[in-house]
Amino acid sequence: MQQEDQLLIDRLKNGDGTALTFLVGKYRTKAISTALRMVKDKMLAEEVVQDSFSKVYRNIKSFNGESSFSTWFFRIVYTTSLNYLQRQRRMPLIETFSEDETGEFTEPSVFTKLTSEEIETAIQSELKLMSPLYAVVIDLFYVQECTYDEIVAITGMPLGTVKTRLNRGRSILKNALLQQHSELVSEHTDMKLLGSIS
Amino acid sequence: MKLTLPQLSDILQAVQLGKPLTEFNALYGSDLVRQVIEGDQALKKEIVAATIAELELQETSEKIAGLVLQRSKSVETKILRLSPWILSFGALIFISALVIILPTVSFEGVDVIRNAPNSLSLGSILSGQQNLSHLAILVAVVFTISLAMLALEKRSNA
Repeated sequence: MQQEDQLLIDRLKNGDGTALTFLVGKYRTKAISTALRMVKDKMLAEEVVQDSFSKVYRNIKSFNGESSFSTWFFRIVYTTSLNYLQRQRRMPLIETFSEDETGEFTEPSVFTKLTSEEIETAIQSELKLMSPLYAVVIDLFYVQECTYDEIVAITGMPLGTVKTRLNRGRSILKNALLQQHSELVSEHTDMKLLGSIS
Repeated sequence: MKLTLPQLSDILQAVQLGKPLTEFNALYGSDLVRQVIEGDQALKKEIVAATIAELELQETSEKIAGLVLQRSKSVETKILRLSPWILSFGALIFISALVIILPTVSFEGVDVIRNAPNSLSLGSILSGQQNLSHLAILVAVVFTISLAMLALEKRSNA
C-alpha cells in the first residue's frame, strides 16, 4: 500500500495532476469520515477535505517520507479541521486525564439484545454529539484502523491521552447502547456488581 | 475481574496489530479476553456501518480532484497577488521609518563637527541642508509605484 502511495507521490511531485485524482479516490471517503467527527457537518467536512487535498498538492515537495503518506495526510486533515473549528470559535475543551481508570468495553451480549437498527441509530447520534476530541480518536482507531502510535503522530496528543480519550469514547457509546433498553442497564449493573463481588 | 485502562488498551492494540493473545489469556483469563475482543469487534463493525451510512458521497474523485487543482491554483494566484502588495506596504513603512530616524542619527566621536553650530547628522550630509524628509518621501513614492506596477504585471500573468 505504501509503495502504491509512493508512486503516486513521485508522480505528483513531478506535476502529474492525475496522481492527485488517484489519491483523492483512495483517501477522500476516509478523510471525510475523520473530518466529520471533528466538525460535525457533512458539507463542512467535505470543505475541510478539499482544503486538505489542496494543501497536499501545494506542499507535496515537503513530504519527505519520514512517516507514511496516510499519517501525514490525516495530520493535515486533523489540523485543518481544528483550524475550521477555531475559525468558528468551536474549539473543543482540552481536558486532563489520569490513566488510573477502568478499561471500558461493551459486552458482546449488548449487541445480541438490540436490533441492528437500534444499534446504528444509537451509535450514529452519539458520534454526532460526542466531543470532537473523543470522536476523532474513535474514528482513527476503529474506522481508519490506526495504531496508537499513528494516532499520536496524527493528533499530537500524548499516548496516555489517546488511550483515555478512546476509553471515554467507548464508554459513551456503550452507555448510548445501554440506554436503548433500560433492562440492559439494570442487567449490566447487576453483572458489574457480581463481577466486583467475585 | 476488572481491567485497568492500560490492560484493556494493550489487548485492543494487540488485536489491531494481529499479535498473539496467549499472554493476555494467561494473565486475565481467556473468557474475559474473548468478551473484550468480541464486544470490541462488534462495536467496530457498528461504528464503521454507521459511518458508511452517514457518508454516502455523491461527487466523483475526478470532480473533486479538479476542484482541488482549481482551488490550489487560485490560492497560488492569491499569494502572487498579495505578496507584492505586502512588499510595497513593508517598503513604505521601512522608508517612513528611515525618514524619522535618519535625521536624528549623528556621527559619534566627531566632536569637532558635532559641536559645530549646525549639528551634523547623516540626513544633513545626504540632503545637504537636512532636508532629507522630502527626498525620502519621493523615493518611497517612486518605490511603491514601481512595486504596485510589478504587482499588476504579476496579476495579469497569473
